[in-house]
Amino acid sequence: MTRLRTLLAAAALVGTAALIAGQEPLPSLVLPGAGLPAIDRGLREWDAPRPPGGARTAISRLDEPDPDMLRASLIVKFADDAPAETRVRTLSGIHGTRVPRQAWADFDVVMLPPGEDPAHAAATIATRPDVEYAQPRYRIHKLFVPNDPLYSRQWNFPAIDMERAWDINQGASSNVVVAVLDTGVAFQTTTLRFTGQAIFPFPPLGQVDVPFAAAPELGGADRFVAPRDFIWNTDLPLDMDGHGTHIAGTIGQVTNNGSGVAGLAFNVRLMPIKVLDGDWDAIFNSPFIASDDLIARAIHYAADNGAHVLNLSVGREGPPAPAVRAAIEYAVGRGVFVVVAAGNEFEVGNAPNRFADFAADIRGMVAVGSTGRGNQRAFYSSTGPHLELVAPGGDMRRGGTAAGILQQTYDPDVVDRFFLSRFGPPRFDMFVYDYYQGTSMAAPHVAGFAALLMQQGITTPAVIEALMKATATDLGTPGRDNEYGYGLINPRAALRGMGLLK
Amino acid sequence: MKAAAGLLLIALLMATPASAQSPASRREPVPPRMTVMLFADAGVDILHAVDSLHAIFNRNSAGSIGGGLRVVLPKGLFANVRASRLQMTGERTFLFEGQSYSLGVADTLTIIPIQVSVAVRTGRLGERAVPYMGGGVGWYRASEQSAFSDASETAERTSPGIHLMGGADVRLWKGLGLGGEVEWSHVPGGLAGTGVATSLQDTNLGGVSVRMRLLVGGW
Repeated sequence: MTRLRTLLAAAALVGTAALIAGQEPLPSLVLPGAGLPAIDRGLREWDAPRPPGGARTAISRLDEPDPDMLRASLIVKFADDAPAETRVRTLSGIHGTRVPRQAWADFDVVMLPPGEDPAHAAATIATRPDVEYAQPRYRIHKLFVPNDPLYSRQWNFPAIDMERAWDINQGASSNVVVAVLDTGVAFQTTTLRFTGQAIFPFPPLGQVDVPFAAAPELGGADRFVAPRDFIWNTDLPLDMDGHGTHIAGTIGQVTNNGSGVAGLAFNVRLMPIKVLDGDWDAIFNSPFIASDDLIARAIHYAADNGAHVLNLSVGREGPPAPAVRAAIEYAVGRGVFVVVAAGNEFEVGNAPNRFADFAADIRGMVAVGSTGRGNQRAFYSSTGPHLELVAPGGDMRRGGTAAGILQQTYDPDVVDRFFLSRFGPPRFDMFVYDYYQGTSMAAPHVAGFAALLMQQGITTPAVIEALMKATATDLGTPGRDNEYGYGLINPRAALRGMGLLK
Repeated sequence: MKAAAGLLLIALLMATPASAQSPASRREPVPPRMTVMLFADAGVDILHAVDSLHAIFNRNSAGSIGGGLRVVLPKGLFANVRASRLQMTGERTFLFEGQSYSLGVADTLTIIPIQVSVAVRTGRLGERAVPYMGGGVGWYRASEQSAFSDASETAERTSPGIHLMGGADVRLWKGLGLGGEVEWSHVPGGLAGTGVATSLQDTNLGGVSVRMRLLVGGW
């Protein structure tokens, strides 16, 4: 795959050179109204079997037994005129013992022998004339647990106490705009005509009509503002990879709709900005490829077009990136909070992502590392002095596929067709719920978190950064360290802020 | 407000003692026995913790109500046991570089002092007014509750403190009287914890209180 990418990048460079020389690229052709609805192909889960007795990494509270009532006790309300002897007799019938009445209670709590079924005991005495009502002590749950059926597989949200954070702020609002600078987003249904060039060892595809569909779980057209494609130089930043769509889902997947998965800031509007070319962009000969100048322009574009938060799950190693740094400083100066993935290079030299290595110098920008299911640093997550926060990004080495971050994106079976035997035009209208891992997946948690804080009234980027750091859950070496920065984000603690005493 | 309270306190304490009045004056006989009075009061408390209270409540004063028992002893002495309650509501916040950024989450502080005081009647003001001054100790319970909090997130602490007070009681009719009182209290660390007050090193729960009092019982 690396070789293929090299070849594709070289081909794209040739295309760019041709463009610069004055030769117009073949424009893609939009076939209006020719798009078909998206196809939802469900969950994609090939979880490799784990050895027995492996390390327990799951921390999801959803996996734990959660009885819906307190055991061996019930609530009983006697009639006001019921004599004391009658009450004692009634309770003795179920071997119950009344505990001293609590303040503000006009009923009694009765303890039962261990193993006694509270529901049965309550039914036994409920019909007696001296009893107004009797019921088990049902447990009260949090106000908000998304009803999306695959939410139980999203360990990443309970890991940062999101359910209690959502009690305070349910997914921000449409007043907050989060820009996703990535491979584009599956936000529109249409068909585009491309000419696929020959790239060794693949034959030319010729003219192909490629179907695109809006991701069903990203919401309608009103979710998206000011879309921009810097790879094709259009206003149609359609994803031809799946990376950007997955990230957009973590930020703003439609939530509590009884379908699919949840997102963190599910009421925000998204600004899809395509700055990263995928393999198919190269095969279809996109006029531009991702480079520092293009990223810098895109950051300016987002800041000038109303973005409040900017997610950059992209980067590079190598020499410093002054153009990108200047653009980020410009955006922060305009009140935009910038989140950058710290990088996935820990095991391959641990070189810093050059778009993130100056994060510590800019108040209002954070570099985000990645944790796995047990809140340990993910094996790939880059470390260093630039790292400021960590968030769940998945670690499939420690927990198998299910330890990745689950969101809706393209079905790779119809996108990654880079095998000679099945090489053919892709489709971008078939979706699955797929597990990804990377600091790319960690960053959108922080972007969504920033959106919640913006909605809560904290709008200054430097204050958002300080609040996130002050409330982070310290991991690793006490205090700030190069592995976890200031710690794991804690949205609930930040949204609550400080009281006078606590 | 503080200045006014101070002036009132000084005026009350400068009253001519009963022993300095002319022999023909209407000297009240020393109460031959111990008597008991009940009282209820209402007033304004101006707390010392200006910075930390303003960060959350945008003010450092609030009305308070209280009540208690007074035991009048021979030789002009009396002892009070008083409980009161003060409540303030604001929003939780984040402090950054000296500024407070409100998060819109409701926060309620309830202060319940229980005070034991001893005072001496210092003389008479005219026909009916009896000034006094004294002091004592107290236990100050501060509890804080916020929206969306669970039990582990509710803060509560009780701290000891001292207070000085002065005032005057006016007998209106039989056992019924009205009083005015100014109190200064000092409760170091009364707001300590992990919150804003500790961040700002502004944890004194004491303050200056001005209150009116209704008394019933044996004068």
